Amino acid sequence: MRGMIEVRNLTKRHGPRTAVDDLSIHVRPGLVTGFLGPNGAGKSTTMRAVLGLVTPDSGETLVGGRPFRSLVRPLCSVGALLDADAAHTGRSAYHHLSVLARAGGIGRRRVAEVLDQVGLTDVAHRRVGGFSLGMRQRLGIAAALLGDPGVLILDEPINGLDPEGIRWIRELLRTLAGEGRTIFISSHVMSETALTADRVVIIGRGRLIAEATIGELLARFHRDVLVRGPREDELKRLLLAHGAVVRPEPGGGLAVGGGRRGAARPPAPDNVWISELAAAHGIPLYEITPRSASLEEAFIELTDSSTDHRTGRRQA
Amino acid sequence: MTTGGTYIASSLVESDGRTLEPSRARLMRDLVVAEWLKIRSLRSTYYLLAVLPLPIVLGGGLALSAAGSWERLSGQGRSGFDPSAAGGTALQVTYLVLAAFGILVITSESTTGMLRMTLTAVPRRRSLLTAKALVVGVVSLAAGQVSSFAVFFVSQAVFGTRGIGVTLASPYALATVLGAGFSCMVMGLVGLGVGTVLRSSAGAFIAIFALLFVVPALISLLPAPWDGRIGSLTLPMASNLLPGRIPGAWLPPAGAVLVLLGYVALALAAASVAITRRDP
Repeated sequence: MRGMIEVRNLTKRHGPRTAVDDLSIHVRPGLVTGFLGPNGAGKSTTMRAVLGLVTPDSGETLVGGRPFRSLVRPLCSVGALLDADAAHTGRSAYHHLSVLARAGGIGRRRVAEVLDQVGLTDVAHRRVGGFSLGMRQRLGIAAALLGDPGVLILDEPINGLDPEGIRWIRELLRTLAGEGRTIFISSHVMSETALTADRVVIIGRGRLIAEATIGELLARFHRDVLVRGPREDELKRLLLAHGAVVRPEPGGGLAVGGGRRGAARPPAPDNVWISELAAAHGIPLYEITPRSASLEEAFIELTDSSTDHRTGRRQA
Repeated sequence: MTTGGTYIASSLVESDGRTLEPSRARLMRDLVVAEWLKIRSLRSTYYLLAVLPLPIVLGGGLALSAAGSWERLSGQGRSGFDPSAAGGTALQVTYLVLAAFGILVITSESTTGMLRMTLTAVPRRRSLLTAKALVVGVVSLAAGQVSSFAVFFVSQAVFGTRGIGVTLASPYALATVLGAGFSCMVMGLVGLGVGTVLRSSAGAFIAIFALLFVVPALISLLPAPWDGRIGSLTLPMASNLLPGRIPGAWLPPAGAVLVLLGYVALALAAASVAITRRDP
């Protein structure tokens, strides 16, 4: 499929350490897909494998159904941001992009366009060595955009950007995804990814942990429902009588969790169930808010369990 | 760019879905021009090239010194004196500079993250190496020939004041000058190959220094006739044997050319294996 990134059973070892372990993922066009994992989880290795920079020990990676190394003019179909030092410090931003454009068969006109797009026109003729991390990130993004590619693979694009830069890249990536492009961005910070990505792929120790939309992830880590009202004592007795677990909140209100009496596999009390129960007994409610564990907590829980699992298995 | 919200994946895809495959010649031309731009846009290139006039001045100085000692030579010593080669020692500086140039063409990329970026634009690593070899070969051949001719004319101007100068029409003179320029190209390409394999500017420069000076010194310790025979296969000696002016040499000029091209072939073959097998 055009624009699809496929990783099939990818395994890569660096000496005794397995960086990527039988990993299979699909990254679809038209979406921003976040690629998450703690440092050293294998994100960069996987991305570099997709770009033909890392030779897999087994498995394969395809972009639009083809191995990257078989692409004739790859800049025109796949744009990449690698590390921030992926430019010679002695070259100016303009020359850095001109060199890549020429090697990739792209006209000089695009160089000025992408410099303008990332806001580096004023410093185009300054040497990259004098750039801040944020400016080097913008230069890397400019390089990725050179060929107006349908697929963007960006390793930690938000690193080093200031708040204005972070907002800028979020809007840029959302726009590009809206045009039907495939956007694949890695990060080790869940919260910043959640604001940009539609879907996330989470890996730990080179293995797939979860592949889900942000909404699915939030639902999976649903914690409890916060309820406030004028007759909280009465409401608490009612909920307890129906099998819910109720704790008073420090700031007022009730945290409602636990099971629900009568159901075969008791689902957690949700806002619908609580409000209908309260209404049936004529108890008014001021506020009813379903709460999830924060994405950061979800991320740590997911990646921790993968670590434990692997440690246990190795000892067995 | 966008058509009804659907992005047309690649600018290489025409509206009817055919892909526009550029010709191999077009692809290589783009790569060569890109390599040329890379060289031109780095200050280190200009620092290196700024050293190139030094051997020409040095050649004049050496000629002056040789002319002084010529006056003290006996008749037999004078007959063995070759004015066309007398300034050539200075070109060893040119060899080192152009080898360093060849080294930097690859290590300026492999020691920064630039090589990874380049390979996302040019995933065919052997094509990239070919383009670099073409640029290094042409630049070092041109710089080498210019330096070699300049050293010749400067030193003959010095010898001319003592009446012992020669012209390019003299026996072996042109071959000596062209041979030294050719050797400069060999040094540039060997530098590129060694730099690709070692991925370190300093390491590659030490290796080149060893090939030019240490290895020949060690081989000269071998018993005769092996010191001369194996010595002919070293870079500096094979280069000296190019004009064919040394009587009774074990290696004829054609053989010397083959030995030098052998160095280039070996260095670039090793570079080709290294760049395709190893991840940047």
